Amino acid sequence: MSLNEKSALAMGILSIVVLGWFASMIVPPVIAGGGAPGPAELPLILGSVLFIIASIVIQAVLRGFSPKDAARGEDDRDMMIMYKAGAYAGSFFGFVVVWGLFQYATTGNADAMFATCLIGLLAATAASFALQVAFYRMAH
Amino acid sequence: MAKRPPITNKVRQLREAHGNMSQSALADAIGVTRQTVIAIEQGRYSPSLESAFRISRTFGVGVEDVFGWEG
Repeated sequence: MSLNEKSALAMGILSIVVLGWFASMIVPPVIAGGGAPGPAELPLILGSVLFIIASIVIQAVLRGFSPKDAARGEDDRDMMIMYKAGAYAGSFFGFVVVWGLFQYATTGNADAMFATCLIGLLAATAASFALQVAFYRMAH
Repeated sequence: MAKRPPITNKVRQLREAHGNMSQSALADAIGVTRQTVIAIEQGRYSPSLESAFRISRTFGVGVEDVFGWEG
């Protein structure tokens, strides 16, 4: 398993954990009819900061264990796989943003739009890493 | 499963003919990961033109001596 594949796997798991955490904060209040939490909610800010810190730590640790691969950077196959996975995930996120904007236009609820886009962004991030792992395993 | 590209290659044979060069040594010589060399040898990935030239130069042969078109 190459460094980039390990990195995609670790970041994919981290993204899914954070997605699950955020979804557990956002979805139950919406189902209960209480509305989605706004962007200034402390757990969401804390979660975002922890996600960034954990990402940096994961990358540093993985690169520390594979200094040769880290120094070489991505090769053309890595770039192709990252581009392809990013294109699919980006398209998905684009649809989610349009959906969020439609929600805001019809309901005027900015918090719901924020929650939709946030969940969509994390889902797209997780999907991007999952697709990278799948592409590395498949014929690419 | 994605369709295999219609490009054949003799990377493995050339590696073996060059003192049983390891996949890691070839990867280092052309600036890619060992996993990419494995994918090329198995015909699962067609390298960029730049990598193809680097591979052929490493073995001291022409690109068409390494890669073929079966389409």
